[in-house]
Parts: sequence; structure tokens; C-alpha cells
Amino acid sequence: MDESALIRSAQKGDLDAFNRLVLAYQDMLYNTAYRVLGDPALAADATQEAFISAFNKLKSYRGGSFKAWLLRIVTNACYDELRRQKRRPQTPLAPLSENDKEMETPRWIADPTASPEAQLEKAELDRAIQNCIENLPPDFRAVVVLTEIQGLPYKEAAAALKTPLGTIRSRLARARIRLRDCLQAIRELLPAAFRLEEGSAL
Amino acid sequence: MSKKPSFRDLTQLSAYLDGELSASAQKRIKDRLARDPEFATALDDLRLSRTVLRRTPQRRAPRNFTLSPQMVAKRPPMPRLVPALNYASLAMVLLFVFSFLAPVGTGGVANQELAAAPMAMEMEEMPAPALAEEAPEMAAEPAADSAMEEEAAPAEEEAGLAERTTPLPTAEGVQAEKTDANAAVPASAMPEPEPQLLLTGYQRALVIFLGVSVFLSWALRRATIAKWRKKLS
Repeated sequence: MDESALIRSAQKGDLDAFNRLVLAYQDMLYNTAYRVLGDPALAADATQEAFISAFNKLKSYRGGSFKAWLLRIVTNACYDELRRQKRRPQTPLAPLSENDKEMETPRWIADPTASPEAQLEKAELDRAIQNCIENLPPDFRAVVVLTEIQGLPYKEAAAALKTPLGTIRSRLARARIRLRDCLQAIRELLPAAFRLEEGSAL
Repeated sequence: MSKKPSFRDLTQLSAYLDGELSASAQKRIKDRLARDPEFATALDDLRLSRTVLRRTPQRRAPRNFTLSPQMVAKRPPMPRLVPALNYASLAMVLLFVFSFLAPVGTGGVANQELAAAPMAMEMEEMPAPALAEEAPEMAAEPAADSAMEEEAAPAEEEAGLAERTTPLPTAEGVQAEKTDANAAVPASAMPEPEPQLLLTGYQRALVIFLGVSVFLSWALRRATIAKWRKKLS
């Protein structure tokens, strides 16, 4: 069954059809939530909330990009979470080990098929990028995640964030400049492969 | 001549990088890139950021986020009888309230008024000659009793009765006074009727049906929720 048929069935209340859409989009929504929030547990909560909200609002979906529609819902869930975070104490961004110490290479990003070195590089890159993303203001963060990480065109990102196209353009440019500065500052921490690519880009 | 790109230039460059500019704007950028090395360096910087972000590892969801019926169902579907009973209850409450406002037939207010002052109304409606006719019968009672009762009757009651009863013609004043005194005895001996709400048969039926309707709705709702929870668990 294709996506539009699944959406139509889900709109009629077919939960199984909706769950097939959930399976297709859950990685994308979780990634988006993680990049915006920076915390796996909060990202999982936001993703779950987004899917529940999407099912409840499904009748209001009037066509267009379903991916952009879902991304708008998960971004709103993330904004809600960020607002809640402001009202309560901060939680650590990386999971803690049994000794309450932050884990160097969290197991939740470890790829069992990769070598230990590759895993370490991947984790370092992930953390470096995530730190830089988290240094951006939330509105910039959402634009970067939707356009750069999820690959939405400007128009769809503008629709997803309910923001004018010009604002998306300027926020993305500002975010890229800030990220560039941030990545330069942590250059030594970046994996060798990345440094090589960086050199070639320059 | 080369100058440091402004923020507007960088925004244009960023959009150029993503192919989000119009054809004419793209041509302008290309021309400037060819002759402005600082502009080209700024483009490389933006490209680097984009490359890094696009290389960001994609995380897999830590678990499945599929929804269960319990997650999405705020309440179980209720049988059609439940809303019907609710509307019926509401209608009965309204009818009950309106029955007190109705001027004829079912008015509870009228009953209440009648119950509160039956004696006064009887006396008001009774014509003076009728009182005079009753007087000889009253006078047949022993004179001593009458005198004692006259003394015993409190002045307040006399005043109250004088207000409530219709003034009699002056010619029959004395006789009327005796009559009043005699009449005062049974009136004061009787307890004042307590003001109470008397419901008509119609109102009682409404109350009973309302009770039954509310109970049935509650029981049905409760049974449906219990069944729904059992089904989910």
C-alpha cells in the first residue's frame, strides 16, 4: 500500500495503517527531535508525543508533503519540551554510567558492525556537531535540522515552521556562519577523515 | 575591488549554495564569485558547514513509536443510549423548573400559597352577613367561657385578627367583637401551617423519571468504560 493510501486509511481511524507510517518515519522524527533537544530520552518523548498528536490531527492534513507535516508536528513538540525545560532544572545531555559519570562513547550511538576506532570517530563527530547545534538559538536549530539534516527545501521548511521564506534563508545563513566558527574551534577533536575533507573544502 | 561580504551577501551565498535563488540572482553571484576572492572564501566557509551537517550520523529510533489504541483513544465509544438519556435528563430538569413558573395546572407556587394562608383567604372571602348569622350559634356557648376566653385571648392576637378580618359595619360592632373573640379561639389553637413545597403528580413523575434516566446513563457509561478497559488490558 502506498503512502497516500495509508494516510487515507489512517484518516478513517485505521490505527494499523497509521502505525505503518510511524515505522516509516520514526527514525526521521526521532533524529529531528534529538538534534533539536540534544537528549535521547526527551527526544523519544517528543517523538512519541508527535505521533500521538499527528494521529489525532490527521483529519486536518490536507495533502502536500506528509514528511514536512510530520516534521512540523515534531518541531512543535520539541519547542514545547524546550519551554518545559526552561521551567525545570537542566538534565545532562549525555547518558550517565553506573558511577554517574558521563559516558565517553555512549552505547546508544555505537554501531556493533564498525571497528572500535570507527565507532569512536563517529561518536566524536556526532558529539562535536551536536554541541555546535545546541549552541544555536532554538529557532536557528530547527531551521538547520530541517534543511541540512532532514534535507527539506526552503519552501517546505518555511511551511513546517510557519515562518516566511526570507526568515528561513537568513536564519540558515546565520546558523551556517556560527557553525563554521564553532567547528573551527573544535577542529582538533574532529576525526581525521573529517579534517581531510575540511581541508579539501577549503 | 574586493570587500568583506555583508550579511545580506552571506544570505544570498547560502541560498546560492542550496540552489534557492532565481536565475538572474544566481548569475549575479557567479559574476561576483569570479572577480571577488573574499566572496569565494565566504562561499567555501558556508559549504564547509553544510558538508559537516550533512555528514551528521543519523540515529536510529531507540524503540518503535507505534501507537496502541489506549494511546490514541481518549474515551471509549459510548452506546447511543447514553447521549439520548443525557438529553432526556436535561429536558426533564428544564420541564421541572418550568413547571414552577407555569401559571395554571402544574404550578407548585400556587399550591404553596394556598397552603400557607387557607384561613385568611376563607375569612376574607366570607361576607359580613354570614358572620352575623353564625354569631347566634356562637352566643349559645356558656357566657362564662366566653368571658374567660375574652380575657385570656392575648391582645396581640386580637390586633392580628383585626388586621386580617374585614371590618364590620358599626351597627353590629359589639356582636362582631364577640364573634371575633370566639373565632380567635380555634384559630389560635390550630398550629400555623408550615410552608412546604407540594409537588403535583406531574412534577413527582418528572423527578422519578429524571432519577431513573440519570442512573441508567451513569450505569451504562460505567459498564462501557469497564468493558473497554478490560478489552485493552
